[in-house]
Amino acid sequence: MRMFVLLLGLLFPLAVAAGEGPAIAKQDWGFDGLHGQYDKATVYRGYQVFTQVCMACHSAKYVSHADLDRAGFTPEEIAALAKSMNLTTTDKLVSGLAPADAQEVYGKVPPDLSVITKARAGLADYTYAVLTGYSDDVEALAHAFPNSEVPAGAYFNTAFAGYAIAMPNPLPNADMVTYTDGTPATVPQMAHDVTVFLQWAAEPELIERKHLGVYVLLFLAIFTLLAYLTKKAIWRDVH
Amino acid sequence: MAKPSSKPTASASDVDADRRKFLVGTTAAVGAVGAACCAVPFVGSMAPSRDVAAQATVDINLSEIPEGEAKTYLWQGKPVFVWHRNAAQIAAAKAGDTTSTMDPEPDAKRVQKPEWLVVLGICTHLGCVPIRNDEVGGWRCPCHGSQFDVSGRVIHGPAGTNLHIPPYTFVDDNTLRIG
Amino acid sequence: MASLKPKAVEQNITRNPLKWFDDRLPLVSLINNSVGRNFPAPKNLNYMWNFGSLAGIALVIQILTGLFLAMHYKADVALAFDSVQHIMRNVQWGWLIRNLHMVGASFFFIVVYVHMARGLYYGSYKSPREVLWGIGVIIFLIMMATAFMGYVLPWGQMSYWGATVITNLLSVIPFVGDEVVVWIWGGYSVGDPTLTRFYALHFLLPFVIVGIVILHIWALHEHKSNNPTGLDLQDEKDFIPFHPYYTVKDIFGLGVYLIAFALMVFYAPDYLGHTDNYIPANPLVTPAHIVPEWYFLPFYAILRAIPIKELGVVAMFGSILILFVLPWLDSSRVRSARYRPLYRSLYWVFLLNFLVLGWVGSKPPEGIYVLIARFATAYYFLFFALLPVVARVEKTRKLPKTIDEA
Repeated sequence: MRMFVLLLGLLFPLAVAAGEGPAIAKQDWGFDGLHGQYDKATVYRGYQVFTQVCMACHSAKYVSHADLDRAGFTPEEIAALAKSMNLTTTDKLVSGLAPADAQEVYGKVPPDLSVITKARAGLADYTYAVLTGYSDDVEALAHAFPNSEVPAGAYFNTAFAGYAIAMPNPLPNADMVTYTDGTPATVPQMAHDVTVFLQWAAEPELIERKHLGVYVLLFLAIFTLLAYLTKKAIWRDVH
Repeated sequence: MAKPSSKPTASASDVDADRRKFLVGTTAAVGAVGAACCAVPFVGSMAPSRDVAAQATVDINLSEIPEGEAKTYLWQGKPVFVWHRNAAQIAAAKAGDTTSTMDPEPDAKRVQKPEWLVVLGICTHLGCVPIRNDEVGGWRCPCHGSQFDVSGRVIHGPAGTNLHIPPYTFVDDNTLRIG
Repeated sequence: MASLKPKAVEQNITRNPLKWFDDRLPLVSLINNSVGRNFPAPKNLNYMWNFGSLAGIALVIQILTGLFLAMHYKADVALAFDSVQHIMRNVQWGWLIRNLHMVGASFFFIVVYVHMARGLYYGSYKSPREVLWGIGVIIFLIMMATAFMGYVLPWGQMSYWGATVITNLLSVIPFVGDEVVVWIWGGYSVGDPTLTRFYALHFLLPFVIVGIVILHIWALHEHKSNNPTGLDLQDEKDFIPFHPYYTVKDIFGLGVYLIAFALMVFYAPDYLGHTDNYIPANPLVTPAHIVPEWYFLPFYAILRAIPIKELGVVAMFGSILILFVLPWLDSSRVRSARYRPLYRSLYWVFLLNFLVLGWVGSKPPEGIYVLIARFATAYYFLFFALLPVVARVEKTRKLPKTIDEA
């Protein structure tokens, strides 16, 4: 019996799939952990980066302004943001770049970003790592490519599998956007904010999920304790 | 089957029985509450989803309806008749206040602006979509022959009540929002 | 022939409605006899015996959540991925129901694996419970088929390529293999017809499982549960009624199970999944590293351990089918591993070896991993091959006379 429990405990760490490719640094995210949340101000800054930078090429075809209510935006704020982009609140965030044009210009259709943070090993850390992974470091480049030459049409990125990414650096310098809340728009700041936005886009239900989970676990703990005491009381005369 | 093997003293077993009863009752009650709560997500999942709920309103450009004509729009999956009534039709509707007696209701109560009649295009009999018919003044239902006048009031059965009026507002002079 | 003499039948519906009804349709008696006061269970069952009823509950959770998902899912290659996102984003509570179904599948397998490991340890497959065991293996097989087809439905990259790889296994069938694969696909590759039929079968098979579970329980009732000592229990005092003793114990076990389940559902729903499945299926690009869901990994490792395709497929299916003949391979008269020192050692190595197979199945098939997989596969089969020998040479420990003595 004890051995079974031990083996079951072994099973979980073993279940973790093998990770390959460049090491992805772990970041501290507000949405991690039992009390994970989306900070509305961060989501809004990320929204600015996404709509002003990413959306030039990428879509988030499952996401509309109306969904922002799940990050704490009021109906008035949502209506105003949608209007400023000439969209209705239920229009999806679709890039103006047609897939066929992208294929011609970049040789590749930029992936939809609705669930990008769930679609790559490393999750949100990976998104952040790629956004901040562009480098001019000659030594790193020489380490990645023997002749220090990135394949044609690609860009050197320390976080991308194979170190050569088709996407040009979307955040090459600070102040790609002007944050309305006055936060200095450094590259790490923009990368962080847009990653939070993309995580929100991928899992808008996260706040509800983690919030409900606390109550469910609390209930189950009480129920299980009661069931245990009942079990002991009923089994008294057998043992 | 075996009865309890050890025999506790009488008083101790009384205490045990009470305690046991209490625990069984409490656990069952808590479990029942939990089970009932489990129904919430399943029942809720069948209600209108977020995207359906978000499309609960529809905006209509009124300039596309010529005077005297009616057009049909889809709102929440249901047809809505929007009739741009001319002076003669408004007068006929007013006159109908006294003659449409099956479900009497003055035209003034059925419209926000006399030149715009907005009614749900669903026969109050069994849910078919009535067809415009100038002879009866308003609409005639193809299913069972119910007739409605220029104000959407029933003037001939089997329907017994007037065409329903959806909630609507005039956002501006040119835009009607249903829902 | 049974007596045809009329029984005393309650005539007044208001005096005792329950008895009145039971006299006409003995539903209450049926429940009492199956999992109630009239079902005697050995009094010494440990917590490993909780996993049978847990498996039943896991099945019910899958059917219930699956039914409600089916109300929103669309089995069409152009819409499947979108409809899953629709469930996650728009359907009220959709994210919860899908997480329950997704994590529920993994937990179902955990429970069933423990249930099987318990049977293997305490010799629950031995006479007179061979049929009970065999029905269990059938349930396991149908469960695997159901889970495999369910994983295809979200139509992500892993869905598509998993379906491609697994259906291609059937091409080893002599003479008609290729035709069979095309027939299964309903086309010349995994596509829309495949997805639609997988959906239909994924909906049907759980109910087939329910039917076979009823047979499983029926067979269980014929000779009652085995117990940790493996002794044949004759004495009435060795038994206690299933209700309330094991109902309350199962409810407590269920509580513990649900806590672990809820932790995953609410805080790590994708932990056991694969990120590639959030990329829509693309028939032109295979992901760099395809792995099946974790619960298939040990068998996947056996498949890849053998360099000859046909032999690998045979070994993989054989590794499960061999369980059918286990009751005859193991001819020892002693059931429980408690009293079988040699078997017990081999058993623990077997279980550990099974985990190693699972681990190596998640690794790329190259270098040292291939070697480990081959050794582990060899031991997997060696274990079964050794059983007849073990039965002959093993010096078993002295069996207790009764379970109270144990």
